[in-house]
Amino acid sequence: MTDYGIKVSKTGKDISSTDPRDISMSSKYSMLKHHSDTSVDVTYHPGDTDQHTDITHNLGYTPAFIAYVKDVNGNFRFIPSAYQGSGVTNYPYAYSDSTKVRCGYAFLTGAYSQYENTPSDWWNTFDNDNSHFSVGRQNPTGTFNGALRFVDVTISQGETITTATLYVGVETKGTDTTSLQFKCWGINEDNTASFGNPMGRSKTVAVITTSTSMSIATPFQFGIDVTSQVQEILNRGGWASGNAMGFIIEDNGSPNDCWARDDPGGSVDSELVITYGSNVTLTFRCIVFKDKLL
Amino acid sequence: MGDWGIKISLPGKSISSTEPRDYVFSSKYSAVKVAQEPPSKAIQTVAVSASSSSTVTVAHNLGFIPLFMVFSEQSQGSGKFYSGPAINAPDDTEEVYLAPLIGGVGTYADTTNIYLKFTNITGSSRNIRYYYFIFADDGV
Repeated sequence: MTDYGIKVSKTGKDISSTDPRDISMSSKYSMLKHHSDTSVDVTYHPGDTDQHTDITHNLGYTPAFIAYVKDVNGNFRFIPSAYQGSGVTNYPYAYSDSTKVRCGYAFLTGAYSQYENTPSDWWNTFDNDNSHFSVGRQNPTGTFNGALRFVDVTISQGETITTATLYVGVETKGTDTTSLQFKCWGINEDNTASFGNPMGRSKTVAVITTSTSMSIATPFQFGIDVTSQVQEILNRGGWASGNAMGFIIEDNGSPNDCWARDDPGGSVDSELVITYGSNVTLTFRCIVFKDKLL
Repeated sequence: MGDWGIKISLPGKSISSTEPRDYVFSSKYSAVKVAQEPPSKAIQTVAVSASSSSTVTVAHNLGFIPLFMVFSEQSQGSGKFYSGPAINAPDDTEEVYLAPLIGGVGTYADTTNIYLKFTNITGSSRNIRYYYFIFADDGV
């Protein structure tokens, strides 16, 4: 008799069965050995691209594990719930190494509760057309102004904005490298239309009067805080998620030959980035086994 | 007396507890049985050529489709092991991923083998470490 050990068959199954599926437990087969199980809450803030938690295991080697994430609907999902090439833009992840199991949620593009897009329309009063955006002063023409439009702003009416920044791309600029002086309004409309001269459209009460240095080599971006302007537009009774919004920027006393220009499809694009809404908390659950991988 | 079997409670828990989480083991609940791990329980390495895939075939000969787990790196030598087909964490680099089963090709098990398909998306050959557990329990 050479086959020593312990085995327990399943109810109704013969203890002498050779099918391992008939056995509840057998010393012939090891089992994954439980080391620890941990639940951790991780909070995501608007604009976050990744948050994670590290579960220290103190095993001194890389262990096997199972990880889950409880999503915002209260459903637990096994990690991974997405694979390479699945087309997801955000996903949970988990890995183990010799000191920890890391569980997190990341965004491949964009961020949590954030709108980000490049313009659909440009306008300039230098040429009075939609070929580009520009603002500043160049004698003998004098001052010139511009506008930018963004579509598919998927934010609900009345949503509370955390931050909104209009990044203006500068591919070409004037020879004066001091300070571009300008004012920026939102276009105060429910769903501003494609540009054919938008400069006469209604402006938001909110306006920012500011300046930016032109000493940086092109291409570069400068940011304009348009939080108040965006909030005013979103608060309009006729605003709906998915509508378009726009911004008018006018020169405010820049020196001669101090100007900035953004061309569509250039080396750097203008962008509108809006973060909104509230924090969300995900719960990660991780079961670590004593079984060694490496 | 109709309740026969073996049970072992966790430290500090009563052997007569009706809460299954109070037990290390109970013959009332079938345990997932490890039928096979890599030889000598050693980490395995697969060389995957640039911009191509390599499939590792592991015979289990169980005669049924088993439950299995596979852990693998996504970047050579990272020491970060992911479970199954996964997307790399932001602090890791995507070099080689374990391909899911799509159109009958990828990572899967049948009645005789498990198949692990590794896809290299870089322009250089990569050596990727992996480990598997094949269980003596039905996967389907």
